[in-house]
Amino acid sequence: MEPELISKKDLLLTCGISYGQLYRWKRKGLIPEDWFVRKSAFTGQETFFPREKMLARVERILSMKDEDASLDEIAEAVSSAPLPDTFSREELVQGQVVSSSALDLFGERHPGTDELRFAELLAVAVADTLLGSGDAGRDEALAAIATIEEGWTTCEAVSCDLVLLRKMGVSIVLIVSSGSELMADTGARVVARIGLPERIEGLKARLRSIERGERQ
Amino acid sequence: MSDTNRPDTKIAGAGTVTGGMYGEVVIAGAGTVSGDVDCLAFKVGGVADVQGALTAQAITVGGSASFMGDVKGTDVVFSGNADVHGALSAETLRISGVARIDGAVSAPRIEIRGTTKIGGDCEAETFDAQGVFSIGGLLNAGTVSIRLYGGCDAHDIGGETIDVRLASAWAFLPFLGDRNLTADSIEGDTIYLESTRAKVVRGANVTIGAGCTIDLVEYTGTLTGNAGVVASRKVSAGA
Repeated sequence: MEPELISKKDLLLTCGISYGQLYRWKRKGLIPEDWFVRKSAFTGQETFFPREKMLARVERILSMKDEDASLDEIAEAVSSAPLPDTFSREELVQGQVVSSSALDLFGERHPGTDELRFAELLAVAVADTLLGSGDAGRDEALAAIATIEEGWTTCEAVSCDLVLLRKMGVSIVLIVSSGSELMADTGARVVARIGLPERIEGLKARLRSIERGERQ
Repeated sequence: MSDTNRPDTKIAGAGTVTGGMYGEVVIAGAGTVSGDVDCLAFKVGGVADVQGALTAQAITVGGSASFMGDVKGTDVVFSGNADVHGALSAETLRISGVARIDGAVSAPRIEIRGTTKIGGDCEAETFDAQGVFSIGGLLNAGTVSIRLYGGCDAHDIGGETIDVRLASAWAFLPFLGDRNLTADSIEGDTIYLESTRAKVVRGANVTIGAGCTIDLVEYTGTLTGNAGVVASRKVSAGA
């Protein structure tokens, strides 16, 4: 399904921001380039944004600004680039970033690994969601972990969704670009579709708040 | 500037330099750089053909230079003739000669005094043009200041303060030809326009000065316009 769009003018009115602010945020990389959707309108071309994502992003930027964060700090917090560090299992469980059962699953795949890179953490977090919602079984969660680990370079570069398809008890995990349509044959069912950019952002925000908590 | 890891190199006649790390690269004659170069200073007084990407702190082209790849520098000055086939990024970019950049340009401070053609988008905090330019994509800058000495165009312009005026005084010479700015859309907080042709202008406080043809103006604050040159349609978008 095509995501619902909001025009630039409506966005500015709804959020009470100015053209200047929006262009500044664009320059600072606070809003991803592929969120600017150009469509022809009666005045020529007009710019639209994916409504939900954009409203959430503006709200986040404005709330960080209220906390006196600089635009560079906000850019770092909202960008889809991964954090460079690795994260230990212990701090992830303590900070309640992911559940220990999801981490155990990861441990099965990589025995003896106590430090997770961001891509691996993302994989575990997505598996955690799938398991938690009851949408996926163990094997499917494992397949999701493997798929994200292998597809990470793609997920990092473009907005992607993870899709879990099931037909007659056989499941397939896919990574597709966000917003793309998915057609499967009639017997197949999309069990779950998880937007990765939102997860990446959510995780980073969570990790940062833990870091801040430790310093205080 | 010499350093064991970064030797200086100079071409005074005709010659070729291979890519690599250098201190200072000076091309006074006709020189070819056959690969990617990372240096502290890159100076062209003659004719240079750079076949790779260039990363340098100071880049000065007084002669003529063509760059096949991207150009990245801190202070970039094009006073001669420069042709960049890739993208250009810098802290300060000053163009007083003739420059053509096929890709995108990004620099906090851009000063244009000569003739510039940019194929992609152009991003700056301060964009100060007193010359002629053509931008194929979006010109996005905090402050856009344009003094028209000739025909200028950008696909779109966006920013906080946008100020477009005819260059004054002695510049009124007949051989200069048409002096105007053309853009599809111009969007900003405070906008002042003279001699501008645009399909749509959107902003908070908009002033339409002499010599403008604007199809549609949308404003949320105030709209000021000289009689007879105002837009064909005005929409107050204020809630």
